[in-house]
Amino acid sequence: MRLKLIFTVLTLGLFIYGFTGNDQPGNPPKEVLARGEKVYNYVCAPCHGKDGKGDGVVSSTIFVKPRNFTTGVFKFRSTETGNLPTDEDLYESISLGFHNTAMPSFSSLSPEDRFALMEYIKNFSERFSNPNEYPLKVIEPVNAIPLSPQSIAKGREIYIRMKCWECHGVSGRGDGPAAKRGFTDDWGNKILIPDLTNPNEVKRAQTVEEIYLVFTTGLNGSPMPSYKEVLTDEERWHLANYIYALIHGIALYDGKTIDELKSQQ
Amino acid sequence: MRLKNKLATALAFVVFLSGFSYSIPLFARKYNRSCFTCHTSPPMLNEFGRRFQSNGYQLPGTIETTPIWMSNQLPFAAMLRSTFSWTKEEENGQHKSSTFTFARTGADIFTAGTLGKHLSYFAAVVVDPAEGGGYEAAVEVAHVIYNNILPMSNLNLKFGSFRLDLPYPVNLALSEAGYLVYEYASEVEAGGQVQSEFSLAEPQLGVSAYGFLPQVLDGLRYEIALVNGTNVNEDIDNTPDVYVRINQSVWVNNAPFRAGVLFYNGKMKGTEQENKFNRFGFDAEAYDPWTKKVNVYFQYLTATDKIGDEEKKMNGGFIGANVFILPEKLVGFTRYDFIKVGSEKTNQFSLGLRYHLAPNVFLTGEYMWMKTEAEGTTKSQSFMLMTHFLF
Repeated sequence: MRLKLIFTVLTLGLFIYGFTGNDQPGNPPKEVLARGEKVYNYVCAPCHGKDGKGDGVVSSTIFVKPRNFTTGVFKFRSTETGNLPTDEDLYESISLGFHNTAMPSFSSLSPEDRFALMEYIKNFSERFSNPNEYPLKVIEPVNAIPLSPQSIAKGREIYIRMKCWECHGVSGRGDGPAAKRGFTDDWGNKILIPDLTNPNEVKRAQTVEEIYLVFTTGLNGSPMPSYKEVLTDEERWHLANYIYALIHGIALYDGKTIDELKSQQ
Repeated sequence: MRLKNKLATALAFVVFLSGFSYSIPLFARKYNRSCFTCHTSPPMLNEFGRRFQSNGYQLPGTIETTPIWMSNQLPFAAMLRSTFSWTKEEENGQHKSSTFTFARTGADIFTAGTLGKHLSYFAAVVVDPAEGGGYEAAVEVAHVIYNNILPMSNLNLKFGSFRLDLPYPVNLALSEAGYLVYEYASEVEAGGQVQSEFSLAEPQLGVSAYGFLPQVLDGLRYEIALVNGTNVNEDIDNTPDVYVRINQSVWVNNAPFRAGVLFYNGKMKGTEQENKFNRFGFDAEAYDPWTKKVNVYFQYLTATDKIGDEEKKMNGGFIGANVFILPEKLVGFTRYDFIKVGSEKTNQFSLGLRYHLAPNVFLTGEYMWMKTEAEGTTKSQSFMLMTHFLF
């Protein structure tokens, strides 16, 4: 009982510490890694494989392939392009899952199990223990521009100017000329360009902030680059507002809002 | 009977109408994921789906507490199927019959999920077209599960009517061809009529301790069940039968190799006859370790029936393969069954292809061939074209 209490306090302590230290490689205790391994082999290995290569037996029968953890390359992060994800990013991915993939939300796993899993997953790639990878350049989504018809219209202009339509299509339906040629990710797996007018097809876009992060960080391992050096912060917020409005049916594909359309009639 | 038919028709109609507003099945709705998270192609489960099932219809590693009816989703799902079939039969080399059949739509309706902490349930109702019109509905299985008595689904208990955890569950197969050795029936007769029968393929009434131990190599699966052994019918002598199954997985390059044994020992006491019967079998299954797209499986089974001084023996098995050609789109399957009961021999071969128009809508074509040699020889060939729609 006492041991259990010490272990819980230790895990919770690490849990809090883990989420505040992104400036150095972590060094979790063996107990946490052992717990992570146990949960991983039971819950994650059927898809991601025992050794984290993303080639578990389920991977052959699903279209969106599970992440290969050994490369240390992750799409959804809050860090600059090429950086490793933060511990919060990994924890969030385990907790929320990814829409339109086989990865469910594991929010019903205990926080201790999710934390141990996060630490264990980092063990698959040497990048996480390489001091040269740190400190991570974390992007704070600040100075958000409120969603408005003006911002949506500006976002639409940027969408056209930056040629987002070449992949995502003029209407955002994922039917751009480049998309028709087909895309593969860095591991050679086929990927589909999501229909941005269908909320069921977008992996993670519940908030404008999440979309802003995609433009800012890029999706490492996929053809989606970071626009941090190409667009200003303000422009990325406008673009995020437009895409959010497109996904959630607030705006039409040409950037006009429903209210604007009504006023024209 | 007419009232029963009307009720069944009304139920089927209500279920059919509700399909328009709920277009994906129960767990896909609850967890907001595609069918392929748990199925290679419905109803066949993948490795994750097996663990989900073992964990009391909850995500592996989790113990849920919220009853499923508290969810804002309809806790029911159904699989509707329509079939067109062509069958040709021959007896001693002579053409006997040739038939084309368009079967009316049938449905499997099921409900499952969490009842409370450590408690879950599963129930399935089969609605089939009745002869002479209308529909007939029957509760196929209904059981309560006390899950995670030991964590990580190491030990669970289920009570009620359930299917025995066979190496290749009959209700989860891609093929419509029955497993001959699982369907082989042990029976007792009275007045020349079958009074009671048992087959591994049918659900049983009883209690089962089962689980999955991921910590033993790459997973040990087991079941120890006490059942009445009369295919969910009323027990005629209340003698519990014993079923034991154990199956060990070892992964080679993340591709599972599974091997196991099963044993069933039962007794049936009718008014005129007593049958002491058993089943013993072993099974093996492997995936190709490179692409994991080819799954080959094998089962060998023997049975002995002792009725008075008479002893009847059965032996046989099957070998099959599934090929996952295009993920979430195209799957091929084939199987060869063989069975020998006394001097009667039956061989069966099936070959099928399934195409998914959507995760929950698919079209299946299957060719089946069967030959039985007893006093004479009968042959049959059939081709089935089926549409399945799940919601």
